[in-house]
Amino acid sequence: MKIKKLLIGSASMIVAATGAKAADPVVMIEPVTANYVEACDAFGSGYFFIPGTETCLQIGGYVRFETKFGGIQTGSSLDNDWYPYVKTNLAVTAKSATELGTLTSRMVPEFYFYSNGTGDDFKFDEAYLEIGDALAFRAGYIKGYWNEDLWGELDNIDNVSRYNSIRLAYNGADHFQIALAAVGMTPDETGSDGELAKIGLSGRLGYVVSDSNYLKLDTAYDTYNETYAVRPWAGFGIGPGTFEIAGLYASGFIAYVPDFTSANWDDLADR
Amino acid sequence: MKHAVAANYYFNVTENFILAPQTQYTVASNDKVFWEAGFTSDWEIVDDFHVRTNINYAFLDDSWNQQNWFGWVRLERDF
Repeated sequence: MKIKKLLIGSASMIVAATGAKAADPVVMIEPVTANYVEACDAFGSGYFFIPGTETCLQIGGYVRFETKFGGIQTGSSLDNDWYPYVKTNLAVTAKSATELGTLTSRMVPEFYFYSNGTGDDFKFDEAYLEIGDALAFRAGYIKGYWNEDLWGELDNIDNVSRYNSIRLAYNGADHFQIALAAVGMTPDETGSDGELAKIGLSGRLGYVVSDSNYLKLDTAYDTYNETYAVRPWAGFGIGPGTFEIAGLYASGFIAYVPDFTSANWDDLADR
Repeated sequence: MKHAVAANYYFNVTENFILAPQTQYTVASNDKVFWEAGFTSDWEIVDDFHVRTNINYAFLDDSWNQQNWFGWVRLERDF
């Protein structure tokens, strides 16, 4: 209160001073900035306020050293096919509360070094902005639902499904998940000749109570190849663990699902 | 791929060791059929430090010209 009075006092003094002699001394009071980082608990753990702003920031990620061996999609029966690689994943998420809901931006660059001749590599895991809460609009390079796998990562019921996309998704406290995404698929991903992107569509219907109890249905449609895929899956907490089962049907070649024919398999010409 | 069914069951063997037997049945686009089976384990040695192992066998005969064994061993520190 005292400071406020002082400020008002000094302000009226400035007004008075401008009306009088310009030589009167004016004392400016600098606002005091905090010299520590404040935790932000509005969006879960790990967030802190960017000093001097209302924006909360979180930094996460991982460092991985992995050795891969074999592979049923390598098109080779070579027995001694193995290589190590290293991967770093850095996830930077910024969130702030707005009148339209939570405004989010997230960027997750990944750097690799492979010992199989590929050398170093750069990829995005995700890079998007999003606005909304239970119902949210997301745009950017989105890691889609088809990227999700069962816990064990056998990795042949999912595929790398990251696209430049727009997505409207509902993730309610009532456990329902409803999402629709329109994605730009590259010529490589559709097998088209040109340099233009083709549109893909994907959807998710889910009832997800937890990682151990869920029902999910993923769908995808490739407008260029006019192919579709569906993937129903479910998880049940049984005994000490969780049983998961997933089914998959693809009407033809579609980038959302693993391609066990075409170039991956030597014995096969058609898709 | 034409269609497939995959399943796994993951459970805690001890407080920081998870094991998951897994299998998949696949019908490829050429109507060839194959099975894969294996396991994944995750041992969290200390908080946020995971040793994850994935070893599988694909039941493919020589005409597929593919490797049968595949998998990976991973050291990962999450933050």
